[in-house]
Amino acid sequence: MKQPVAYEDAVDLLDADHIAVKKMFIDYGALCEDGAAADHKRALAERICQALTVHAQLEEELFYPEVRKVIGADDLMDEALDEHAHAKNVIARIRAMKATDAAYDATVTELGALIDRHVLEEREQMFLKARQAPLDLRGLALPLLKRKRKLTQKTTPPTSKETA
Amino acid sequence: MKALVYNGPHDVSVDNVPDAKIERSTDVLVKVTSTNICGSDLHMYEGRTGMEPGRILGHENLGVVIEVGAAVDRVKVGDRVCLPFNIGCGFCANCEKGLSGFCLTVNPGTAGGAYGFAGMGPYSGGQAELLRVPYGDFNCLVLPRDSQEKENDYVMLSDIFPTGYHATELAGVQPGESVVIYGAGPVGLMAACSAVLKGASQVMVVDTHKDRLQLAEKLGAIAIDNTEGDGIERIMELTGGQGADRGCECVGFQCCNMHREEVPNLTMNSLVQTVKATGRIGVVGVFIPEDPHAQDKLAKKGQIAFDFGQFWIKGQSIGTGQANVKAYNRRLSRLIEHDKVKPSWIVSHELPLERAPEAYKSFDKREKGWTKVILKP
Repeated sequence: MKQPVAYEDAVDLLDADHIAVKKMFIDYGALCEDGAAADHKRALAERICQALTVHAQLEEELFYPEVRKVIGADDLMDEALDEHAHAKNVIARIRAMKATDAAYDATVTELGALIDRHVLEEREQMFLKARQAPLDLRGLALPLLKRKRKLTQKTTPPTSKETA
Repeated sequence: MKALVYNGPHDVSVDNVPDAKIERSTDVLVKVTSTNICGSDLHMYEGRTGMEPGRILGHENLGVVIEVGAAVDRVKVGDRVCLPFNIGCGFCANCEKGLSGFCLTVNPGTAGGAYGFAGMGPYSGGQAELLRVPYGDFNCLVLPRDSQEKENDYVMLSDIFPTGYHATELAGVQPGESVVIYGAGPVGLMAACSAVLKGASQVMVVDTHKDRLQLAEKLGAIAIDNTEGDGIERIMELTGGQGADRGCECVGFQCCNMHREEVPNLTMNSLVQTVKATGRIGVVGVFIPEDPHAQDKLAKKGQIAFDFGQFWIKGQSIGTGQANVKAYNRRLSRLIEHDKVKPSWIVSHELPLERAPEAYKSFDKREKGWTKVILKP
């Protein structure tokens, strides 16, 4: 039996990542508060980095170019790309560190703050403009989901066949 | 135009900013004539939210329409309108059902939009001379003909009256039932007013501020002064040891104990204790998903230590969330039009916009006698 795609549109699909990652950052803060073991924190930080890496790639490959064509706000799109570049830089720093490093927690927190700002700008500016523009966001959800599956295949194989 | 701008924690100022204008053909532009300071503005004022510096505050707005977009049919220039603090589109799955506080389209990523509110979308607040109202036909409540003389009543339809009413709806208050309300701030008092309207047999209002409790008594409610921490015993005594049929939470995450220390689970656990078995609790006080500035470890990640075992054993249920103002404001406006209620009795101060910064300061300190401030831009 075919499983229909549940996301209303591309914005909902991308925002689901934002919501999931936000929860992980809050959990990370709680681990720090509780003085959790380094490997515990490392595992969560790696999940965050992995989720953000896939998310950024999805946006850059498939979402941003389509949005750029229709919303007439190149500076907004350029700013978003700059923020991605900045985030990737911080992710690389986290991945190069040991979780026992003195600056580890602060670097993950720095990433969290960066993502908070980026997400707020996307939601309040780009996503709204995209939804109000003549752009097939409903249709765009399908290639995004397909690509996301591909990029996350190794870690989470799809359990049922879907009409992606 | 002049507007009240948030600069950072405990720092707001009235500045000259670019005029609000029609941005989309579905917008309406309103010249604001009354705009209230709300208790939830204080969460932002105190820097306890993700509010961005530079934003204009104000989500309890009323004014005169001065321009309408090309796609606006119903609302006309010259109409006096009250704006629900929620911004809804009118056509998403939630707005369709009357749940306009959880609109799925105006604020991507989060359900619900509002004016000048942290995390509720890019919309500017109305503590300003002009306000842009998105989807004007849906969001404007065109007021009855007596709106000018009763402006201070009608402006309460933007938030606190419907929000207080919503608390009693979430709790399921029915005629003859007893209700305990935590919080005698403007929303708690409006909840008490709504419970009285619905014919509750006993309305008990718990707080530690004597000036506010006096207002509750004026409504015909029983004031429970919890300064000595014996509020729960009083309620149990008044309800024959059973607890009230219904409970309303009108305080939120910054609730304080008698020593003015924040104890975020205080009101919720008190309600579990003072509402009867199988009773229902309506929560309209604001709780937030993370609170980095909290003292409490749980509160930092948006959690409270909730007496869930007691809650389960008593078979209670709970309803939560912000009020869907559109679902109630037209009905409630009729009560004002026909002189059945006069919510302006709550107003303690009427000030020009220029004096907003001092009003924030006094209101934030809960200075005696500061219950509700209306700004007149």
